[in-house]
Amino acid sequence: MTMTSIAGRLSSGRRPAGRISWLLAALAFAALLLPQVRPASAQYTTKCWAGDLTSATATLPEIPEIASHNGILKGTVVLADAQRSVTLPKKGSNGEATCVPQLQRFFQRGESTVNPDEVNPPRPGPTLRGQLGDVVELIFLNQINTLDYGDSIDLSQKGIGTGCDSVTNGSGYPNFPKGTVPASDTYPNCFHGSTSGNLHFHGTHTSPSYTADNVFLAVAPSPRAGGAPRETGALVQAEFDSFFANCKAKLDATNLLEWPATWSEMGLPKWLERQKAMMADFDKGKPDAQQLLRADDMVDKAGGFPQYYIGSFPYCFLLPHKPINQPVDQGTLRMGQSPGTMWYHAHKHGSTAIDVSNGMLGAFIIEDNSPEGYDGYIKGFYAKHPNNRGTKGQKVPDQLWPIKETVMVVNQVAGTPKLETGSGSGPVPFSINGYVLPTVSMYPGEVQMWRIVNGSTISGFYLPAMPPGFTWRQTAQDGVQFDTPNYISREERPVFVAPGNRIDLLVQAPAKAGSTTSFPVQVTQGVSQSGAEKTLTPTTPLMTIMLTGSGPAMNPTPSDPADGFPAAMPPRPAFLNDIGATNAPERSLNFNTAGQGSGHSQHTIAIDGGPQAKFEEGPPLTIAKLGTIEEWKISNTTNGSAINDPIDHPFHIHINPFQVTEVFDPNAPLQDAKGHTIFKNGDSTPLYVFSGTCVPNKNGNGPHPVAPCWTATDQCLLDGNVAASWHPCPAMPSPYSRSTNIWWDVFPIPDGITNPVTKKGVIAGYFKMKTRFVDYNGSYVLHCHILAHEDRGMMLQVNLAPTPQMSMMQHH
Amino acid sequence: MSGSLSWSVHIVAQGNGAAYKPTIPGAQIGDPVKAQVGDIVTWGNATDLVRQPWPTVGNAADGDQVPEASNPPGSKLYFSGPINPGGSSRPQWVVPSALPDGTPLVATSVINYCSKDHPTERGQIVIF
Repeated sequence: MTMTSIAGRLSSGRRPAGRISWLLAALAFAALLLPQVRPASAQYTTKCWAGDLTSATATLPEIPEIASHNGILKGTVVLADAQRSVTLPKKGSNGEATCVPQLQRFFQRGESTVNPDEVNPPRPGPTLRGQLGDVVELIFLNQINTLDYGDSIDLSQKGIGTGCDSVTNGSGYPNFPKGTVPASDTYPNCFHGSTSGNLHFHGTHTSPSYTADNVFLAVAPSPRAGGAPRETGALVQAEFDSFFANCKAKLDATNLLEWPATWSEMGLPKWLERQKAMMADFDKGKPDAQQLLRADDMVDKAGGFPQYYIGSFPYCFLLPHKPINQPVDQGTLRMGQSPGTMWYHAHKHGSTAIDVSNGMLGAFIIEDNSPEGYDGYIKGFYAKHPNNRGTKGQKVPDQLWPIKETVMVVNQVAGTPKLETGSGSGPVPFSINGYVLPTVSMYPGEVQMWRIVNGSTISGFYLPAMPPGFTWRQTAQDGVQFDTPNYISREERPVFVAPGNRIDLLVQAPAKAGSTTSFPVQVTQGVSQSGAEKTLTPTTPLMTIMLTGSGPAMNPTPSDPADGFPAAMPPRPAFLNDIGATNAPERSLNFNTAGQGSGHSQHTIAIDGGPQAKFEEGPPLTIAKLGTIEEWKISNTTNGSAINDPIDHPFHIHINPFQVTEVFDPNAPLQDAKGHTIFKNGDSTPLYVFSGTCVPNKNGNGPHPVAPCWTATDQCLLDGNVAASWHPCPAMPSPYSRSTNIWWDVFPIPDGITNPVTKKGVIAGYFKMKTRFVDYNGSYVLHCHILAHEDRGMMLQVNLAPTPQMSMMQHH
Repeated sequence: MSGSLSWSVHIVAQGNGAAYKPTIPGAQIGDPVKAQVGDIVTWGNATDLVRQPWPTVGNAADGDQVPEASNPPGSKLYFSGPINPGGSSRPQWVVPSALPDGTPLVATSVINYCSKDHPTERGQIVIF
């Protein structure tokens, strides 16, 4: 039998013809026993939870919360799966959204019974809402039904083997033809392990180890009995509660304690016995390299904290509270947790892209409600505002907030990731809280606080402005409030929100309703900040604001002394004052994508001029001791400009945030002092010009009469032949610093550009940042927050103050 | 990253054998699963025996199973390796744009398969 004979006959729902009658009769009889292609009752299209630009057809849903009480943020997060409506990139013939039911894996609050015939909209996981000083006590359950997804391996042998989610269509991932350069993906830097999960608490300053923000954990799905998961909340509750009580007592007593460091310290003998039994069962028939219990036992015997679990895991960690007026050099706790908009998401290497795009994410709000704290200050301003709803005798939107606070989790809900950018059907649409183009209602003059999380695994968005008539202020970036100078300087300043970034906005609707009641909020979608900034007119609607209802406007008349926004921000917590002098040499990291657009791109990081390497291919980045203060230059030699596909790899590091001190984007457009790109005849003006591509005028100002370098006086002249000149001009003010530097935990590394003078080589984009490695030692990671890049290797292990007793994790 | 759509089929006990049931709202046992070229189809084995979806000779609805040597791993119609009870298919199978003989798969095309070593258990994939 040859291969061609397999497919020698392709039917289209018809039975073969041209046989002799007796054979037809026999076949007809046989056909009664066979499944037929028949009009099926199965539903391959489903309702769309998508709005349009003119009506309130998809009101932004509110997300259920798990809120803390009495110093404990306690709840159950379940990794579940069910049918959800996924909006296709390609619209219908009339421009309408088209949706299909897809089995998706996502976080939800608590356990629930799945109706297999019910299709719900996508939705992020519950919003976690805690306070500084809380102990987080989360029961994490993985109840995915593995029957619904292909067998995906957590642990395997490094290199080419069986660990990757390979495909069999003869041309797909990672089965590239032999000799392909660059080589195909190899384990562990390939898509794999998609039914296991864990929780990364993005933006927290806490322990990176054990039961805290430990992204090396992998919790596989519970085995099932009678179709239901065996590992349930009811089964683990009592034992976990005992562990949580012990954990809280210890962390409350010592806020720098990293505990439990071993299985024996957990004190969960029954649970561990059950874990071992489930793992032993799971491991049956598997090669040594894929056996979870074997891997765990080795770590346990070496005195480390094992990383593989099945069905359940107890997360317990502290949100350390440092007194707001205590600077970094006072107190045993140096940094403390910043209050602000954080988020959490799955961080299982090899499957972060598919997991987060399916719905394994949620917002994590950490509040400081003291009068001088971030939340307390803003609440106090509106509580005392003369036109506050409460003072006008109206019901306030929420007992916790005198103005409406809206949490918006942006995502691009998608299926299984491909290596490159899909099939040309267009980008996956943004959703907010699961709805595509949702409607946000405001009454005229109302002020709302929006906490926006960009949980997209691939795209950033550039918000150049709010709709006409709306005013706005950004109050925080990545969960750290602005102080007054940056708050004022960034008044209605356009903002690029990279994957992983968060922004807090105060938004005020126009005081008077006009004839128009619906206002689309338009953004530019992409992964290049400068590319987005150079777009004259944004065309991607993110949401629609509907002006409806009535209430007390915050600034109803010009004569009213009360404004809609605070005039200032409270001082930042003293431990978030600007980082001063470093105490270690400068480091450099280079992010690079090779073979971009080829269908088999490779994503790597180089340390201090060393070789480009994927995760675990090279040595980890080691910070010798706690208290180290460093400045890093993080560059990007990806040359998207050559193929008109720039990529600003969003740099993210766990545990300790950083301050950006310098940015060089060779593709940047010229902007005015308010951050608006300057367009002439629809085209942007480049910020940087290179000698050799033009003739500079004598005094550096004004256009040259023959070959002008400058078309505007604020441009920056660089020498294409002198690498030392490839940095921002000294006179250029940083947009990320007014008196003080802004804190970030994700920053898009500007894309490179082909040297316009030599026509070869890449002038890298870069940014510089300062950070402090303080308080908690252990292993964690930095990586690109385009999560398919991270899954495929653009990640680096950071070992902070390793000790001989510390067993460094293997992330798979 | 637009991603691929994924479709799941459960292999369920029926009589003395097994049958295929798409995990789609409203689907019944024996329904074909619909998929587009480039989509992923997976099978989950809810029976007590090892099962392996396998192409039929000539892609015929009533054809014999293709000999093993003619459909090694990596072939366009290598839907999965053997699937243990309670397990699911591996490697991922992506609907190809054409059959091994080059016949393009277009809307309404049908791929017929059976269960290897249980050839009376039949399933279909309809391209849409």
